[in-house]
Amino acid sequence: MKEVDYSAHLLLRPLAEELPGPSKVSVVKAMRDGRRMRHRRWWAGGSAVVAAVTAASVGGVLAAQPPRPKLPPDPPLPTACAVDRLPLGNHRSAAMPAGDASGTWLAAGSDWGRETRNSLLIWRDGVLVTDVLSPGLSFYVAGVNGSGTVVGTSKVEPYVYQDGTFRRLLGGGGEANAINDDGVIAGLLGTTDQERRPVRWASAGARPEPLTVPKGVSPLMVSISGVTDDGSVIGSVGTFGYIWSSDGSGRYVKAPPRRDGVPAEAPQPGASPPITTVFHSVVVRNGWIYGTRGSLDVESLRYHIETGTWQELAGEWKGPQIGDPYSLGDEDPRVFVGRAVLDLPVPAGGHPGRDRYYVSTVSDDATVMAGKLEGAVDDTTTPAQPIIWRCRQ
Amino acid sequence: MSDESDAGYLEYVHGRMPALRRIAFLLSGDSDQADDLVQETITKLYAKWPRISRVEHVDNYVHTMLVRAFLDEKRRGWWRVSLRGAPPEPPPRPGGTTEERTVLRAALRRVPARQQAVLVLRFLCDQSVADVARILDCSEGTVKSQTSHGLTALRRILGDRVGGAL
Repeated sequence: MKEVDYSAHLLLRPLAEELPGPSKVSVVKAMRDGRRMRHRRWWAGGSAVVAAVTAASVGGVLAAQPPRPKLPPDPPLPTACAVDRLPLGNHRSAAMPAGDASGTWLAAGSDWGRETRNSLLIWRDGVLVTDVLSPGLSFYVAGVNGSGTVVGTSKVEPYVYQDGTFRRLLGGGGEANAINDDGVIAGLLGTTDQERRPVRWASAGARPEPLTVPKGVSPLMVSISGVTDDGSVIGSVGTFGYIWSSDGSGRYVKAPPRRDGVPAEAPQPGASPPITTVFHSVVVRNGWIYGTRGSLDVESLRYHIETGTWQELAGEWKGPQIGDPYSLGDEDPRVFVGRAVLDLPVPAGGHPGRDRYYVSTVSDDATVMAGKLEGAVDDTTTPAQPIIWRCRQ
Repeated sequence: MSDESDAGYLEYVHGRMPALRRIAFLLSGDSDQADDLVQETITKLYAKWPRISRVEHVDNYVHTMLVRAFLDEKRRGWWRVSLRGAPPEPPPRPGGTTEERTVLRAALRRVPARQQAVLVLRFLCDQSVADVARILDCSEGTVKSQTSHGLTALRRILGDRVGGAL
């Protein structure tokens, strides 16, 4: 051991003798909350710029093909926003609302977190227009498109709600994860770990088209983030982003090397993934894949599918803003619009500093945002409330 | 999630619980805070278990999640409230002198969070530089420099107490 190590060990050794008190950790609670987190697949496909930029000082094009690619413009930053709780009818709570790109439609399952046959709630322009009993237990909404068509899952059964009717998607058990404005749906089929596989439905009544998973990859390591306007399915395979094109081909999306000098590494079969190029796709908007890189001090990035352009978006973890389904929320509602941070107001009657917010959807023009207010992590009595922000530029 | 997968999760968590609580306690210096960090970590672990359980070196991922939870808490300002008043003092425990630990713990809290994590992982959890680099998702050179900066900061904060009370 080097001298510096030895002296440091000696210096800190008194702390090593301390022991924590009796455990208050609850594995049962962890499994219950973790199960809910697994169901927070509340970002759907569509088009809009949402989430994840950070201070302009760190945002920059990482890899651009000459000539400089023409990128879609970001929406202007709103100057003022008002917040309201979305009406719940006779229900006590609701899950994270999904929204369409225009900001017209929002949808969520009622009675968040309860093992019950709940209801599908649909809001149009913030007004509750549909409150219909779901076809099964614990229905949760994964996406809604510009026609007000909703996809979601009840337990292990994928459904679409269209023209006032629930229809079970073909192919057996699984989950519906996203829908685009043309009605193309993406999800996962299979009710056991071994059967699980990604699929695409060309329409609500279509037979599922299997999406190929690279050889040697466990189907358990596949997730779906969205469907683009052209029907490409965006997701993650293992620890990398993945694109299934509309022609059926697939390719990895690996983040470029970080600029701190840490080199990219080639993945080795059976080895831990190279952390430096890890890229989890989280949401698909306006031709961009928004996601995160790294597993600590996670950075948010976006990848422009058409031009292959990378942009660094966040200098620090912004899970609730970028739609991280494993986030535990943020005490301050914030969202990133274009390249600027937008602080959002909190509703009256809350508990500042304890309540946790998620911003789950932003309209294309950044005038409508929606999300969820939850009590503190240890608060099991405050029902989850869906909220809407209306903003003006 | 299948019963088989749940069983794997339970086996893993129960097997690692003492180690996770110890790391969390060494990072936070507070038993309740440590349990909060472990609770958050194993919750996220369950959510990700179908994906994580199939990779090698699950411990690396879990340690990363735990340290990230600690750093997130520091960023969110869990300590902000405490530092405005007096930081919560750990209750006296057997072994060593209480004064030594109290002074050292208070000093360590004032070291920047990332450096604090490096010091704890290297010198209290006996992790190698390479392992700490993987856990913190940075280069080994960064771990070494953070170690150096952290030790310098700690010694500066402790001042005359180095070699004295400590």
